Amino acid sequence: MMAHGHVRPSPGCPRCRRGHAPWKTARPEAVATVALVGSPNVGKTTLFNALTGQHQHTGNWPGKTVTYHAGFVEGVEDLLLVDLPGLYTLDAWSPEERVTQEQLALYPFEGVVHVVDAAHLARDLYLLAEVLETGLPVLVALNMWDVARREGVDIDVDQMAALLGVPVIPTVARTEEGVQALKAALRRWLAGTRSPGRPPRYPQRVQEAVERMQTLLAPWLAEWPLVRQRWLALKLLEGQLHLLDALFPPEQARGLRARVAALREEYRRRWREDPALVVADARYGWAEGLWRAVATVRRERRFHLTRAIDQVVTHRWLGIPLFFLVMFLVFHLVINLTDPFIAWVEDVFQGPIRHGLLWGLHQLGAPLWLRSLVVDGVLAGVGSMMTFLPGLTLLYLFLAWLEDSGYMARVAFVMDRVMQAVGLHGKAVLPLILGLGCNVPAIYATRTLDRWRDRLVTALVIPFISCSARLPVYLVFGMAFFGPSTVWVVWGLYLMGFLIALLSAAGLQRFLGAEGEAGPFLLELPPYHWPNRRVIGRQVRQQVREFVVRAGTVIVAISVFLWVLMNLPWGVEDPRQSWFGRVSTWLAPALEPLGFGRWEAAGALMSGMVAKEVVVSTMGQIYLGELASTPTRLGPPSAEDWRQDLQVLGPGLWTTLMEAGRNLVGWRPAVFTAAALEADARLAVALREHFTPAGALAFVVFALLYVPCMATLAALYQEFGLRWAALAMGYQVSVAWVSAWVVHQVARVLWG
Amino acid sequence: MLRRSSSTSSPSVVPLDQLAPGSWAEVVRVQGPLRWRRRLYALGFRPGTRVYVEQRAPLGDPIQYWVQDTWLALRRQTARQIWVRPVAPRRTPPENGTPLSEEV
Ligand SMILES: Nc1nc2c(ncn2[C@@H]2O[C@H](COP(=O)(O)OP(=O)(O)OP(=O)(O)O)[C@@H](O)[C@H]2O)c(=O)[nH]1
Ligand SMILES: [Mg+2]
Repeated sequence: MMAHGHVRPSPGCPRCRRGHAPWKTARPEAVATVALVGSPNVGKTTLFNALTGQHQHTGNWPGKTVTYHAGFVEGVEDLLLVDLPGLYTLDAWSPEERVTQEQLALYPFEGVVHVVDAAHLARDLYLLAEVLETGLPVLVALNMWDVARREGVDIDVDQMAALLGVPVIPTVARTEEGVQALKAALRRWLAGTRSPGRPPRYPQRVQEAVERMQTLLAPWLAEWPLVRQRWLALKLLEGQLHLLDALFPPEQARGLRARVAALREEYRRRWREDPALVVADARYGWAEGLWRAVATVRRERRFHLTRAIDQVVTHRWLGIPLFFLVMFLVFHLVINLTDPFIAWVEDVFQGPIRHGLLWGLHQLGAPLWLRSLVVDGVLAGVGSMMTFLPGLTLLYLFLAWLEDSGYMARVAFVMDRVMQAVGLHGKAVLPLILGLGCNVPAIYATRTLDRWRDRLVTALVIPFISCSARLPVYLVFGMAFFGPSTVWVVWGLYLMGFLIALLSAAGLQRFLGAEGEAGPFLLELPPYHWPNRRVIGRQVRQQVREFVVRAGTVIVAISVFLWVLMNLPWGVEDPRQSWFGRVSTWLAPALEPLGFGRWEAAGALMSGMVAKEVVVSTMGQIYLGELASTPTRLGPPSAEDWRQDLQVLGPGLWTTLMEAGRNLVGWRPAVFTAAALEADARLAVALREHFTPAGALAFVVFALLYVPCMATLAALYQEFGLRWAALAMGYQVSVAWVSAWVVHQVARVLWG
Repeated sequence: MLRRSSSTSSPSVVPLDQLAPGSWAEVVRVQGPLRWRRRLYALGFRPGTRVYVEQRAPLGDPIQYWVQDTWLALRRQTARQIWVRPVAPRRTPPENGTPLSEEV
């Protein structure tokens, strides 16, 4: 249906470099494919969601979308819309920009919807010039129309459309204002009235050079429409030579590259200037002319509020304390509000749900091993995942709110200097601090970082930050061996975690250095706005769903795996004889140099992968022989059980809500709630029998640093894939081993 | 808005990171690899445009600028690549909450 339906170099997916356009193959029924482009943070994804009814992630933060999403426009069924990452210019400067640029070059889009920020129109016009140059039909969405109005920026829409020769439609993606008009325009577009618009003109000498470049390329691009050929010629003249690699097979690209470069060089020698800068100048000139012709600014109260808030939030003395205060409040709220719910969720899973399942399995006459697998393997995994949910949901909510309001950008601004020292981005501060509460949301919080590389490094070091679940381990050992000095041991461990995280970050950045596209550090500080309830709701729902589906799968899988180890061979009585015991025994020698080479220690650490606090309970089971796998537990629930379950669901929930309410107003030092855990005196005695003080110290160091828990691994896997998750695990275990060894040696020397 | 000027050589050309908060300047030239330059150009740091230095971050780095109608923070190391000529504001720097503009 389109004139240039099939270009010669087949359209490709820039990620895998295979010759296909992923959204097109996925949706062959689409009649036309239209790309959504625009600068970062102008509301492309919001508009995309409004048009397609999807729920992609948005945030008041440039660089949110790093890959594309595709979806059909509601009400214009045969139109497939592709949301591309934001970019300031059409040069491929960052990987995201590359995605967009190469997609525009490779894939025969039937048109482009260029989303511009009406409130900052001047800044977006340069990109508009470049988009018009592509020769594709363009439709301009003047988004953020509400902001423009509020800030006194008047834009003459009709004049703009007339000058550009393309439709211009004001929209407010957040409230879906103008979205219907946009759909109508898209429908008219589909009906066939599409015009490519009027791009800027360049000086004669550039025009000529472009034509020569076009002649040079012509034999290879025979099937391309002329405008597209011209565009590619222009881009190559500007020095975007990587496009050749994207478009042609390697040998051809190499050959062409030399000739293209020669032509560019010739121009530079002859005119003593870089064609790229001349072209850029022409575009800026064009943009300026256009801006003059269509916009007037009544500068009333402009940025009044944003500046006033920033005066406090980024204040020399107040800025940093304020950040810590905000973090503290978030912690306080998340931990204290959800603490009662965690216990309640556990009760519900151990009570009503467990009993219900057992009853059902009993009715079906399921064998004991199956019952055990279901309730102790699968259900235990699901339950442990669910205990994360209240906290995660609340945290996501706060983060989404802080992010959408614009505060996160200020945090990055205020804290950047500290992070610079270890080669991280300012925005990495937040995830690191969040790690103190729980590593899992901290890893997800790295999503606010723009560059994949920064995200990866930050996420890889987060597990060293001591989360609140590790505290019980420190306390039990501390109480058993170090008495009142436990406080210092605990502080030391926290500090050690932070230091190792920062050192690892610096090391990793250096190690991965080669790729380092250390471009200019840029941080936009967008104007504050009051977060939109729907936007936040959407985002939280989506993140929670993703966690449940993807991380949940891994958690359940590991939980079942551990169940298998502990219960096989079936009917085993002595835990040491189970596979779990055997694996532990087999692993124990590796821990010998650290001073705790016993199967009990290895086993406790292994089960600690479920969650760190389990280390303590496993030790209790092993040393105090409480491993109660009495078969009655797997029988049908008694009347008494049911009565208790009712208790949990009714009054239990009520007390939980009350307690959460009390926690909200009342004061409790949040992070140390786990300290309420009574150090079990009997366990302390048993531990003293089996560990030397030096070994105990080494053990807690190891517990601090080795794999945090399966949920963290699942999060790493979800965010970065299997390879990085596995590497992270290997790295953590190695660091833990070495550190514990050093600590053991030093402690032995000190204590004799 | 996107004002540009022709003269570029003046004795008082300094790197952008040297300017004290509260001053206005006009960009004269941007150094560094072409990709950098184009990136900075796109954001408004290009010859002829005016920049207002808002403030330093509490720990001294990065520095916040007002350019082309947006707030943008640059690390010193980046700002050092941008050479500017200080200009006297046509108007005293804005009071808190009043419009931020060197024109009018
Ligand atoms: N006031 C107002 N805010 C908007 C409008 N459209 C989007 N936003 C907000 O602008 C912010 C950025 O929106 P996104 O849709 O994530 O922007 P994007 O262009 O996809 O950003 P990148 O993916 O980073 O390129 C969000 O906080 C939106 O809620 C609008 O028309 N008016
Ligand atoms: Mg987006």
